[in-house]
Amino acid sequence: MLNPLRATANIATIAQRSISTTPCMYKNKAGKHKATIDRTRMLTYEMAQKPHHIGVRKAWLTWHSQNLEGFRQSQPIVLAQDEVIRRFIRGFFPQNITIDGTEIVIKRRGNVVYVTGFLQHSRRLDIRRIYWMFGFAEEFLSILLKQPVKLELQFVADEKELAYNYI
Amino acid sequence: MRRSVVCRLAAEVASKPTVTIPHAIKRSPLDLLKALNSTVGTDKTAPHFAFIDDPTTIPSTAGQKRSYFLAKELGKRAARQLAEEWPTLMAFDRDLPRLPAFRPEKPLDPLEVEPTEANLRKLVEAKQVSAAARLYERLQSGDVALSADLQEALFRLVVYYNGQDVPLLEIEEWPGLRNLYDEGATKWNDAGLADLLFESVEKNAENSSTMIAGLCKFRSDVSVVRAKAIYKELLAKNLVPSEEAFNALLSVSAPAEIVPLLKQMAHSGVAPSVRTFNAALTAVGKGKTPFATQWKTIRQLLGEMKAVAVDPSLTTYSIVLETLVPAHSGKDANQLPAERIQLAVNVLNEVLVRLEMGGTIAIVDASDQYFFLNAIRVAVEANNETLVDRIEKAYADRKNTVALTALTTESVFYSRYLTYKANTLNIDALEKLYKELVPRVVGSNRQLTLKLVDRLSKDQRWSFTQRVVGDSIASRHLVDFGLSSAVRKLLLAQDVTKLSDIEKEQFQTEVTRLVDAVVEFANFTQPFLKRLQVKLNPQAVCECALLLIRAEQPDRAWNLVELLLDDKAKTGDDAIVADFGYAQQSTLYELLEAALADGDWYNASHVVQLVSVYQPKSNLEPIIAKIDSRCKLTPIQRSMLRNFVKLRQ
Repeated sequence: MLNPLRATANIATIAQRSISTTPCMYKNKAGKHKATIDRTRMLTYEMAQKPHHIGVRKAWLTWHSQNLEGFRQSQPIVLAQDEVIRRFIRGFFPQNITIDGTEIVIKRRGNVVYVTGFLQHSRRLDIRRIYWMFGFAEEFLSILLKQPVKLELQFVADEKELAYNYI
Repeated sequence: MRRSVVCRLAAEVASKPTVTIPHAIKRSPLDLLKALNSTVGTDKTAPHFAFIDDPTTIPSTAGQKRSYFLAKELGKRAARQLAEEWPTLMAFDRDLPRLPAFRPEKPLDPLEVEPTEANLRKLVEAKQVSAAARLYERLQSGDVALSADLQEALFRLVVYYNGQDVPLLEIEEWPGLRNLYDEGATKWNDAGLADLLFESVEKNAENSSTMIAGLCKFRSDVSVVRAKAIYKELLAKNLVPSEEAFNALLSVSAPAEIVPLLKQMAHSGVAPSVRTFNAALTAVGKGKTPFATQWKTIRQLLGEMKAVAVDPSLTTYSIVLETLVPAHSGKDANQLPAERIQLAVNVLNEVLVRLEMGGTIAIVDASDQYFFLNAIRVAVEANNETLVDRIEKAYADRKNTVALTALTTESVFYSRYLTYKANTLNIDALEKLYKELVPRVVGSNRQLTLKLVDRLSKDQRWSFTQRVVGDSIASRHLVDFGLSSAVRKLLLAQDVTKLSDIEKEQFQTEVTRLVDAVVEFANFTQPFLKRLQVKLNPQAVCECALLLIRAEQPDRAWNLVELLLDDKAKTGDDAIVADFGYAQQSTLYELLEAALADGDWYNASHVVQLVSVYQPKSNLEPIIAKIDSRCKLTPIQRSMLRNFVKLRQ
């Protein structure tokens, strides 16, 4: 039989909220990929470089001048434009994007936005359909963003052709 | 010491020449841009900028270029229509200055919009012809009075376009539809809105001239008669028709009517322009008078042009050349007298001298570009290499501002040029020219491929052969029996022993690619792919087998050969081998030699079977003797072969 006093003490401890006193593990997991036992995880060059290599071995996925002091007001617009472009490409070419559409490079030369990257195709590539989709995407994004948008996407037969390493 | 240095320095300063600052060179605002432009040329390694720069998607033939360009444009049109339908979704208004190009507006619907003069004016200004016509009808039914100038503007619009919407040929926005899609000529719309409006507007010289021009532009037998009647009415009223009316009448006149019309033009004091003479020359060319009469009239017209100081345009020269050597003579080209071709050559030479000595070749009409096409056609038919080179140089010269339409006429021009040069240039220069032009400007076509196969079979150049074979595969030449055979023969003609290691590897890759494609076409046995199936024919199989042997893949080669002896591969829905056709004796003997070179009795006997099937009249005894002498046959194998021959006999 339980000691009533002891039971009361237990209830009291259970009702308390404790502060964790173990050391925090602020591990940065962004941009890093866990290795597999059988080395089946494919990494592209982009994925293989750690975030601290940005600017060293790895460049940016978006290029614009809006980080300069004089462009502070218009910086959020460019960020929003980039996100719109990425989501559009991911949604419009769902069967063709590689690596979940994360490796799309957006460059700006003057007023023109260039969207570059790789798309994959199956053996039965309907080239006319692809041209139609490119024309639609370019025109749609141009009208949406009010500036010329050009796609410079190239094709690989399979996503695996972009492999740099397997971990 | 110091003094002598100071004195020396002073002496030097005294003897130094004075510096004069030169005057600044006065430059126009465009001089720097022009200087930069002179350093920029065409990138001859890249496809046309409209295409996706990826080997998979670069078009190789004219048909593919047309198809892909139109597909892209139709995608753009779809996006634009979506934006017109949902403008509120595209309301991101941060562009400065405001760009109307990115704000497409839906055209006014004539059945829904308010029937007012202002709306009609908007439609007329936007050249929405059929919409304006419908709105006008609504205005008429509502008895709304229109101002005279708006009515005349509507009249001019409707006459100019025959009451129909702006044709594809004039649409600025969509170059693909404009250049690649031919709507064909239309005839005058009798008793349409144009006729109705003509009755309501003032019958002055301008309106009547517009009506004459419209009736002649959309010519039909009835409209031409009516145009001439209106012309006579004008003259009877002592009104002066405009130059456009005279030009239009000249374009529909018989050759005998040209001189009276021009005389009347002179009498009325209407100054002719180059278009007047072009119309007259076109009428002369279309007439069915004897050539001598045509040439005499042409010379008179050209003399008249000189007399009234009207400079001929490229269209003028083009019409003259087309009259001298008609374009669509086809088989009749060889039947033209040699003197006529010589005359055309002389005329062309004179024209080229003028163009080469003159200044900038400026564009006058959209048809100016056809001069280059006609000129190169005449030069090729006359087999005059100097002229061909001069024409190409004149076109490519920076002072020429007349450009051939990309993907259409430019492709035809350079195709003629390249096909001609394929006969005359040495192999190195031809390779360079081919790589610059194909497939960027000229699509890979049958005539060119066959000519190059012929040349390369004699003058072997692996880098050139590889490119031609690659272009042929990309242009789907493998589905054409003659072309695929030519490509295989070209590869078979390569002396593999003379290739370097890298070239040998490339040879193997090309052979594998070709055989994979041929086998894949044969394996389209599913019902939805049957229409694309190209079954293996015996000659193709033997050639592919030979190629595979040379590419060091003998196992695959003999597997292919065995297909010819497999009845299951020839019958049924899943058949991949054609049950007709034959293999040439030379090819079969080459296969036999390849088998005997390895002492391969088994595959040599397969070849014997093939000879008995496809060359039934051949004597098999010598073949058996050859096998016996070169292969180590056992007695059983020997007797099997001999019994086979006896059975066949």
